[in-house]
Amino acid sequence: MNTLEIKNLHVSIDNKPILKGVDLVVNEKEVHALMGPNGNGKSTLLAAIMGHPKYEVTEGTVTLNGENVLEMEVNERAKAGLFLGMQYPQEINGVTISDFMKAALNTRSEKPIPLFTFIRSLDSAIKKLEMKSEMAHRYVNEGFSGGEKKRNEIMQMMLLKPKFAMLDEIDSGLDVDAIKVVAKVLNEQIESSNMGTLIVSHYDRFYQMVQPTHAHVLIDGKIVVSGGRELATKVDEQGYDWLQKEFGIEIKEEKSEVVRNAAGSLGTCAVKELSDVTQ
Amino acid sequence: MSLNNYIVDAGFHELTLDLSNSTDFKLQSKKNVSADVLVHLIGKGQANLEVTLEKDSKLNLFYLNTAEEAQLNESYILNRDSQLDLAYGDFNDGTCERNSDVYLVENGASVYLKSASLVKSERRLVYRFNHQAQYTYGDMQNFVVTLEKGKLSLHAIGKIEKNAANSETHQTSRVLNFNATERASVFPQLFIDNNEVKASHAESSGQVDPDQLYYLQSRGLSPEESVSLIVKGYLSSILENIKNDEIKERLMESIERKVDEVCSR
Repeated sequence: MNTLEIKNLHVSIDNKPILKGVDLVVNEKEVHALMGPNGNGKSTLLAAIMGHPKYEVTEGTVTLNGENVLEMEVNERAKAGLFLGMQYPQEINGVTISDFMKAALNTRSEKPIPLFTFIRSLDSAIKKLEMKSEMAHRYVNEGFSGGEKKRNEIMQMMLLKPKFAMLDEIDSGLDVDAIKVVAKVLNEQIESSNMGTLIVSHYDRFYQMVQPTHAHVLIDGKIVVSGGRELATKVDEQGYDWLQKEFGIEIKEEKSEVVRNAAGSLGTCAVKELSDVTQ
Repeated sequence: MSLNNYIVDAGFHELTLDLSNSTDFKLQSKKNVSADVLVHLIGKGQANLEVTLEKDSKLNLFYLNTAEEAQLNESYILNRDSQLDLAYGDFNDGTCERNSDVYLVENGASVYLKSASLVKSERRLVYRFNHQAQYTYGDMQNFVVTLEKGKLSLHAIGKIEKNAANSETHQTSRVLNFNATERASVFPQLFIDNNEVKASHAESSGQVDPDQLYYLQSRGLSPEESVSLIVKGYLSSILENIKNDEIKERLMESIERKVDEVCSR
């Protein structure tokens, strides 16, 4: 049984505390939805688990099957079975997706993966995600649309077969059809490889397609409420204000994030689509 | 001293130039033909190279420099409506000094230059486009990676003469430094003697982007493997003009081998 365990995790960026004691256990096959207003630490939690150099862990532990993740280099964490589907994946000029994935797979095994096997699994992943076949020969994320970048993250997850996948707003930038495709792939992988999953998303429609077994609300660097699938639905219907009434929790939302979203980014678009769907 | 004279026909040609035999080397493309020439520079020494493109010809010339020590004087004469695609892959360990002069002497001539340098020792490069006729076009893209003890000076020069109206000259130079102690100096220069022209230059220099490194590492690549992949991608820009897949692959392999050698140290 694979287990990712986070205990009393405190994380700072530039000496500013962001996470203030997060406890979370994710077992294999479980799907955890991580919710909360922007700027409360969701992305920070995922990035700190993956080992982004900007995020400083000041207290607490992260273990994968009992092994101390925090002592590992970023690439060792990946090889140990962690995967982060990023919100803003990097562009890497001159490096094709094919070369990148070949290198990522070869570094995990004793001897190089046979070229034919590699091409077959890359092609199959690309096809399943309904991407164009020439995708393999494009430079990593360069000139990709928002949706292509997100699919590319999922494509990497398919090839690397992690024990735990953390997906940071993987559904924003995707239209409804694309979300369906991604959700299907994700469900298949959970089923076939018992992958544990930690999802950050603002939208219930993604949670409708990838049924979370657990849900958590992260506010001001702490998980304030945990529950099952019904919690995700409640947040979607009622927002976060009820937390204030029921638990006396003060909600703060980072203003800059809100402004960025309001300025015509994908987030706003998706909200509009969602309301169209529910009407 | 030996004198080599080549008149190139259409198709692919591969030559090796051993600088130890202090060489003068002449290459001429025939009228109307399109040819690809790969030149291996090896040995240690000096060479004068003269390349002439006849009317309406197209020459794709690629230098793969693995010479121990090279001192090169090159001149290119581009006649009416000819096109030169010039690519330099400088992956040698030793010192290198190159003066490369492109003369666009007749109307409609064009040159596209791409250079990739892996700098481990002292290197002095001068690339000069001399626009001497109307409607001539020049574009230069330099990619430099400086490594330990590497020292580079790169002069990128575009010169449009008075009678070269309606010409364009452009250049971009990008430098990737491995640590703060390495030195690379780029000197872009534009000399324009006619008002009816277009000209531009752009330079950048910096270290490997830490966010790119993090991204690659998050997929399991070690820091060394990540850097090596980024550098390969960066230097492989010079292969873009090469149409022949087999040659392209061979050159890519030689870039990869060299970068792996350097990055695994």
